[in-house]
Amino acid sequence: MTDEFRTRMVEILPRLRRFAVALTGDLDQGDDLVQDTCMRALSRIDQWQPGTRLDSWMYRIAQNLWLDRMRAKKVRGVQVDVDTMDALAGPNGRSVAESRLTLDAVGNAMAFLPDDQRVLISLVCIDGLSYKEAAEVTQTPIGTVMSRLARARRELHARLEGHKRDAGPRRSASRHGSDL
Amino acid sequence: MTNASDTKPTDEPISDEVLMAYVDGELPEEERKALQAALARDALLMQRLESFVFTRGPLLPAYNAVLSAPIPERISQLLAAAEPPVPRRTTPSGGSSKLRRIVAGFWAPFLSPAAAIPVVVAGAAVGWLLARGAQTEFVSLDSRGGLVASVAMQAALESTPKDVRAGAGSSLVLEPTFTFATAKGGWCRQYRLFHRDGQAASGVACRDQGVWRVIAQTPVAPRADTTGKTVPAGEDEGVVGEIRSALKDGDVLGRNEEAQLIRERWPDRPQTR
Repeated sequence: MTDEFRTRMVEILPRLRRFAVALTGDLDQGDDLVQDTCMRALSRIDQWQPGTRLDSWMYRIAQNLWLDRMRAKKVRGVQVDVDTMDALAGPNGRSVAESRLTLDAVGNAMAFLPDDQRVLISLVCIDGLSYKEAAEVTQTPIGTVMSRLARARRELHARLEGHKRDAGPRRSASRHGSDL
Repeated sequence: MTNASDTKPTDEPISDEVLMAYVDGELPEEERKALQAALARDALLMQRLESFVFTRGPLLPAYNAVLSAPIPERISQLLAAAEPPVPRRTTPSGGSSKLRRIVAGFWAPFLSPAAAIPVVVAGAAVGWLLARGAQTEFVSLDSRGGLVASVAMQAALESTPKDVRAGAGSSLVLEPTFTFATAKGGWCRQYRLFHRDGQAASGVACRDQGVWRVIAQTPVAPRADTTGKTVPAGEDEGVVGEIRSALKDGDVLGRNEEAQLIRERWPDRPQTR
């Protein structure tokens, strides 16, 4: 089991990295998260059940580590860099839309999203998981996954395309349904 | 989930979740058809679809670069410290099969059941690219010896029809030659790869959860066909063809089936064993 575990762990590393970078918005921080995830997984090998999806299990570890960090940051009062966030929209709100979507641009827009929504964007839109798989990773009902994901995608689109009229850097992204 | 098939343009509104599921290919067929009809009638509905199309497409390339970025040493070392002898190496010791004559090999668990099918990569084929510093242009090696296609090659494999050449980096051109399914429900493509210095290779790449991995590649001696187009020599391509035969489940796809796959972004198919 140990050999299988480690072999598969190495194999999913590129995707785990992409997931971590999508969550953290930064390659270095993403690599830190991957490293911590691997260490946690290796130390808890007995908790993984052969025959189940290792990638989902590791994504769950990465997600939980990242959410813990985000909670700790909020307790310490660390905020999103407002200047950076505002710069995203540009003077007419379309600077990103009119330029190529870079990792920085998408990462900055992702930073506006609530943590649980950022996880879902990373799992579904970037890693290509199905709703059911994302529900398993996040241990959330599929209906909740869909409603949060739809909300996140509208928000992200608005940020990146500059269509948002009432952009506010610390506003809760909890609008729902018929606000388009 | 809202049943879109019951929805008419003037009464029950169609939810964002339904629109999103349509874009993501998660809407049941019946609802999908009903929604398509509604979209054809309702421009506003089509406009609402934009957020979900946008966040399914343009986001991915920004992050895919991470897939081919070198794995930091600190992470490789962490895993290598306890890593088992992962790749099953085939030796060039001269078995009867052509596959056994290929220099090096690795296996791809995602393609096969527990007893993984050994598939091969010709070391020399990687070498002629790596020797020219083209590693990031072609593939990145993960720490177990697996090969993740570069971003440019991913894009070419993802969207180029067979027999059409597409850029796969500043020095490379890729031409898909066959598209086929595997018994595990995945998709693979055989291709030719041409380097600007005149060298060529023939290979097979398979799509694993949205990522194209190079399964086999062998250098070939390029030659010109009657139209002057450079093509790999047949004998060498036969080795890759044999690998294709080993992986393939059913016939290779026709152009229409392939075009549909490209349009629908390579949806999974049921496993056959």
